Amino acid sequence: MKAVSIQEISKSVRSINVTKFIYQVDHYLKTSAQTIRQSRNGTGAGKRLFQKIWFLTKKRGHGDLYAEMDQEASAILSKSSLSLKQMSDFRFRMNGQSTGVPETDEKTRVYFKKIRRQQVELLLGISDEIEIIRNIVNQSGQMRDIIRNHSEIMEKTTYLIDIMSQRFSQQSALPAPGPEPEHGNTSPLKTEDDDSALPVSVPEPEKERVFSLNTTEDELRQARHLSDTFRNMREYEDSFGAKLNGNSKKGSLEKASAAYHYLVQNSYEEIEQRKQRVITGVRELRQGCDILKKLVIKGYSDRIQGELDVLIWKHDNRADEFQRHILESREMGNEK
Amino acid sequence: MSDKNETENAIMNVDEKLDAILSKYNDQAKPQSPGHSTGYRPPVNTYYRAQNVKSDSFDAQNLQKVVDEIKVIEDGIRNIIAARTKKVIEEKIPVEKQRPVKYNTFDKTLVSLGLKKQQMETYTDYEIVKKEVPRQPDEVLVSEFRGMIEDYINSLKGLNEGLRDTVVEVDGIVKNLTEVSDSFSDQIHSDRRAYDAQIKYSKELEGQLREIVLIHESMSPIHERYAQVDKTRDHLEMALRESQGMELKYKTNIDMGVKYQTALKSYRTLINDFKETGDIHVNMVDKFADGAGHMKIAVDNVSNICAGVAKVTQSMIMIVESIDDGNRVLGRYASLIGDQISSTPQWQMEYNALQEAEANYKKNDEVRLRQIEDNRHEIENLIK
Repeated sequence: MKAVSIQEISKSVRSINVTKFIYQVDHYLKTSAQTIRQSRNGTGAGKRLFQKIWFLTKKRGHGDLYAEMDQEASAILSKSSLSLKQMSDFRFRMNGQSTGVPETDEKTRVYFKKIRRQQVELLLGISDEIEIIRNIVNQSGQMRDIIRNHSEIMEKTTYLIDIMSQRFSQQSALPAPGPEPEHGNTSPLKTEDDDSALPVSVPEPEKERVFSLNTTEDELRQARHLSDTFRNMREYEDSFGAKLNGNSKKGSLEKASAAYHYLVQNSYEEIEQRKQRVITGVRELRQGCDILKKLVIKGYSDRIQGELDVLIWKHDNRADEFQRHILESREMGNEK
Repeated sequence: MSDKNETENAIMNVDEKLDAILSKYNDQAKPQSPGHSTGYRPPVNTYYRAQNVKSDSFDAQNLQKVVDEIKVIEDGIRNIIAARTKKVIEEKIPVEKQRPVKYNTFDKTLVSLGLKKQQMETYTDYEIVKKEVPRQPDEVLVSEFRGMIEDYINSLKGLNEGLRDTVVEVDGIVKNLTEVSDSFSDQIHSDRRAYDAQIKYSKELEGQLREIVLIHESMSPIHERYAQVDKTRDHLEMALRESQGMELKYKTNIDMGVKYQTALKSYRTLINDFKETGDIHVNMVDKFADGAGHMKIAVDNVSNICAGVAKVTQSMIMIVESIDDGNRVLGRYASLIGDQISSTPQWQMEYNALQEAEANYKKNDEVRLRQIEDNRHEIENLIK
């Protein structure tokens, strides 16, 4: 096993550059934010949401963005695992930095261990967060694809059902059915005034068709069929008309898109959080690596005590938080 | 000689008597007018009662009621059609428009050179505008009802076809969403299993680490295996941290998957509602279109029936009138016969009256027969 020098470690840690990744994540967040904002403000939200999503995914940039993010994330992850490996293989030797003061030497060793632990923790933490961000983005991309595929059909459906419900509300003024037409119910059919009058130009007198006057069995059946139809129509309109007009599809479509909004909003916030953690993590990583280098090369000195304290304090907090999180999740997992 | 006288007297008496009889007879025979049948006088009928030969007059009022009712139905239908259709009429309305002023050649040149500005003038133009105007029931034909229903049915059918196709597509969406949701479920389950396995592994590592820490703490640094224990502890700590990181990742995946699946499910329920509403719509409209098809025929039949019954009623009323007239003729004839009028002027008068009544009857009868014949033809056409 080739011995790893601190220089190499420092180099690989420094090479972990998340700027590009963060930039891509920001871009992604910006476009999601647009969607959320617009759909929150707009009326006819559902319809426009579908249109918006469809349009967004149509844009060439978005599809490429996913691929780039993936690529970038993989690069970072591989670098961090390399650093990890190097760090774990590094054997700390008290050589050049020995000052001859046993307490100082002891401190150097102790602090070296602590800082190394911090580095390991940070490296693992950063790669975890980046992986999670990548997963979230991929999953939301999946959802977006699904909705995009359905958006056209959903728009058509809402449009058609709109028309149908309009017509049904108008046609509720249709002639009321007599019980049996053969009873000689000679009162005129109901005439309700209607706005839906169809425009008709005055026609030329139609040639009267020739029909049999003898009421055959067939025609009796037809007349009964007709009154049945009217009865069905009445029943249908009574039971479903209210449902149609009351909870109009616009309402349901908005409910569906509200669920989607909530999701998008949620993932947005999560990605934002984790992104911040990545940024702070990388900063601390660099700081820690510098200190590590100093410790290894020069050894402990009072000057670096302050920095050490800060870094170690942050590390301890982070580790505690992490452990708490783990225990919580395990408990939640057990409850389910 | 007296015997001779007596014989002569007797002969004279016979002559006189004969003359008297003949002259009396001739007197009786004179006042008969020419052309009159001189013979027949009906004998006294002891068996005949002079009565009114008249049948009860037919009460045609009920027929009239039927015709009135039919008219009410027709008016009702006309009102419906008038209420639901509008007439489109074209109107000329004056509109003000602008057009460039027409200049003569010189001015035109100036304009084209740019020295003179082209001015516009307003003029009144007439535009033909189509206006929709409500209709009166009188101008409506009952036969339009059929056309109205046909238009409505056709447009409904067209709409229904579109809706039916959409419902099928929406059904496809629902199926697709179900598949996606199922795949989410599968993913979540496998993630859960992996999560549990990871926890188990982590717990093992934790156990090992605890042991190592005990050893490490209790070991003195100059022990020969101290470095090994040190390294092992470091490795275990890193492995544990990695394992715990994996736990968290699985957990996050599971949470995300559950959230997405919930949203997907509620979304799918809504779409399914659409689909069911659409299905019901499509079925209802189909049924209605069928029924409305019958309505067309029913209305046609109604209007034909109305026309036919009206014609039949008219014929019957005419028949009744003819019977009445005939009754009158019969009555006169009967009274003529029953009275046994022997005196010529009275007889002549009655006979003249009878002739007139007969002629009248014949004349009216011709008209009526013609009308009834026409009605019969129309009704036969309707029945064919």
